[in-house]
Amino acid sequence: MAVAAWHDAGVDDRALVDAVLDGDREAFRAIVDRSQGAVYRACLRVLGSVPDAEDAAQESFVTAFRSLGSYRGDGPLQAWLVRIATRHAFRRQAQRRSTTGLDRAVHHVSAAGDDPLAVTLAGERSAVIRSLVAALDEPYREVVALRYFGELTLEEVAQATGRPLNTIKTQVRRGLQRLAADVGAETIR
Amino acid sequence: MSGKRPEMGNERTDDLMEVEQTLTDYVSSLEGSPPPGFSDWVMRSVAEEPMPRHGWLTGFGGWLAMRGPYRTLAQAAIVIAIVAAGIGSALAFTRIGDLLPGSTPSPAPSLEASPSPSVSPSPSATPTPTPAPTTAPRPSPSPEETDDEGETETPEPTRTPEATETPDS
Repeated sequence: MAVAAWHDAGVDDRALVDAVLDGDREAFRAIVDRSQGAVYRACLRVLGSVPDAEDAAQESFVTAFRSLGSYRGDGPLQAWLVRIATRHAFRRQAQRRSTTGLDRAVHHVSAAGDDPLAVTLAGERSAVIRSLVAALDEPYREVVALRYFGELTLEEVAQATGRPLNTIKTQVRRGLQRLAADVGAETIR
Repeated sequence: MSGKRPEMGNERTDDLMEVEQTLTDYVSSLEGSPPPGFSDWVMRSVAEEPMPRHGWLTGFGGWLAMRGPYRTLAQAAIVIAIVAAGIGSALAFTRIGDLLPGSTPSPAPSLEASPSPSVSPSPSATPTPTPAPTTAPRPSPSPEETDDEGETETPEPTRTPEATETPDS
């Protein structure tokens, strides 16, 4: 199939994956084009840094390419990719945790206006949220990240993780409970 | 957050809603898209990678490319298993061949003299009377409670889905 044809919205995920597995490397470009936004944003929300998010997203796609044969097609391909991305991002975050102070994300500037104090506070607040989510035990960290940072539905989280929907609901709820306990009144409110 | 609302149940507490709102606000403050040319960057990285293969080929290829301290041991174990399976199937095939009509013309007198030895291999040649495998695919009566891939360090959520009604907080 021609490269342009892979970008047809009517081509489903399974067909794209099969095309790559059958040797059509360019079909993977269509997969990247479809999912790069979701993958990048998930990494950005875990890491809070544009350069790190770009690197993590790129690594995630390379990992996905290598392990494409293990995609079973149980759920959307994008959910599968976002799961890989959040894992990469958390791993990268753990590696850099000891070396980074205030995060370098610039996206808070627009939300906080030009007030330097507001910008600083917004950045600190975001860093607190990221660190609290990252500190959650598994499986709560994963499901909370997939649900909120990855913007997946509960059904998509269930499909991506291979767990029952009720289990995912429980795990998300418990993850939020633990976050609420960790956050306390002084940090997030 | 693309307008998606969490589906958590009816008994949401204020604390949970507040945390949820905080996460939602945080997520919406970090919108963005990858830089132009990102897919080219990815494709350049992917160009150096060998083509992925279908699942079963991946497993066999992974075995061929296996590295590490247990490589020799693991590969030897697999080779032994393959050889053993081959020998076993050859033996079974030979026994089945003996039972086939017309395949053993010379020992015909012995069939009449001693029928008992020829009867003994018959169970292996006729595996149909064992319907047990048809019931095997259902490992548990409650898959929702047990299907958790064994990766939960805290198994209580998978065991009691209704526990959400009474959280520990």
